[in-house]
Amino acid sequence: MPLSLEIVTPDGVAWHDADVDSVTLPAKDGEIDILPGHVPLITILNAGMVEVSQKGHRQDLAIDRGYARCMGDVISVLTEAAIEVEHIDTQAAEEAQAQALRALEEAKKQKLDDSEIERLEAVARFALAQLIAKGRHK
Amino acid sequence: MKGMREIRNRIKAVKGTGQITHAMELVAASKMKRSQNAAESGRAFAALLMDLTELVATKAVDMGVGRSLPETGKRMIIVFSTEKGLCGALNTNLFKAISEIKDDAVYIAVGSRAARFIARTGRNLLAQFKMSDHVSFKETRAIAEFAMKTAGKGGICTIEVLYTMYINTLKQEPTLVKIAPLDNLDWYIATMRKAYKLDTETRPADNRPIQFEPSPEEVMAELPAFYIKQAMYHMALDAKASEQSARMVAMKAASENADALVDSLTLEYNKARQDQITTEILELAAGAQQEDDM
Repeated sequence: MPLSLEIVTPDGVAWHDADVDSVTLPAKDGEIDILPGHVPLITILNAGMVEVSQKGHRQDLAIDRGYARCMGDVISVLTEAAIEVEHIDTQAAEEAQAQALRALEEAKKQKLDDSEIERLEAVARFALAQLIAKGRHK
Repeated sequence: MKGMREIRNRIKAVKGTGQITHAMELVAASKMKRSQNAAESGRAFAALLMDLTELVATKAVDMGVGRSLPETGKRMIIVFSTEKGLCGALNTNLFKAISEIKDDAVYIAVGSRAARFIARTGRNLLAQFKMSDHVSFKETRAIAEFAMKTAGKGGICTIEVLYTMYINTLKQEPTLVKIAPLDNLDWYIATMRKAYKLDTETRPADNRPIQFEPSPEEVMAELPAFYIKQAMYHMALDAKASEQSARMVAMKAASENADALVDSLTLEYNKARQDQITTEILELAAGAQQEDDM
């Protein structure tokens, strides 16, 4: 029986497919491969790449920090942002990361409020995840 | 009786105002729809998060949500107000609710209206955030992160949110909700389920014991942050829908007032015109009479 995978963000379901052979998740303590019949699992995910295998063809997605729940061969990923690797604009991600890091330096110097720093950190983190995913995809 | 030109100018001005308020009414209606649609797309996320929380909670781990907050200290209150006015009594009602808070509290204002009120009444304003009309998770996440970080530094016993709950187009109510510490988790899950209409069970069937990675405690420790952010996002969307519907209703009333005013001014104008014609005819008749007499 194939696996079913859904990646859920606050903006809606970012990715969904009910016919997946295996999934690799960026769990907190290292990558986890999930095959059909996996024991029920709830894990913390780092920002990174989700690798999906479908009939010999591979689909990669970059995600932000989150959670994965695997029950009854249904994998649900809860994250604040997700993007398919083909849709990643490397240049935009690099720019976003550089801009966020630059602003971050600036913010730390000027002691801007924490919320702004947190927002920029999130931008930088997700941009990095996108770049890593894109780099490995090639 | 006012001059005809003066009345004509007033009619023109009132008509112009009516057109503007009518346009604002339409804009508010479309923005309200958008907030509601955004709430709809956040449904899957809310459902999964509620489900995860329940799964972890049933794992008999003590719900440590915000447990790190001390028993005594100041209350932290996040107020969702609006950036612009012209939305009826919405902000006034919100400020009434703030006035009722007598305890020592620190405030985070979202929207300039609340910031001004809090500063003016000499309350402790900690930070002010802006909220665009198209509320995104990113915006509310920044607010939530700031609140949690500040609370983490100590001296804060609760994090609460004061927002205008959307009931229907005509009714919105200021509501104060405690989001940390979460001692009423069941109530919260039930409220979210109702708000997002999550009555159907979405959890896949699997009765084997659940494994937690890296550990149930760590999974638990990270959940509250997601949870608080999701709650804030939900409340921000609700507050936005309230604002837009309040504005829509206020602008509808203003447009109707403008129409009524135009009607009465038109009547006045017609009367003045009739008067003028009558006077002219009288003068003509009087002139003709004089000629006949001569």
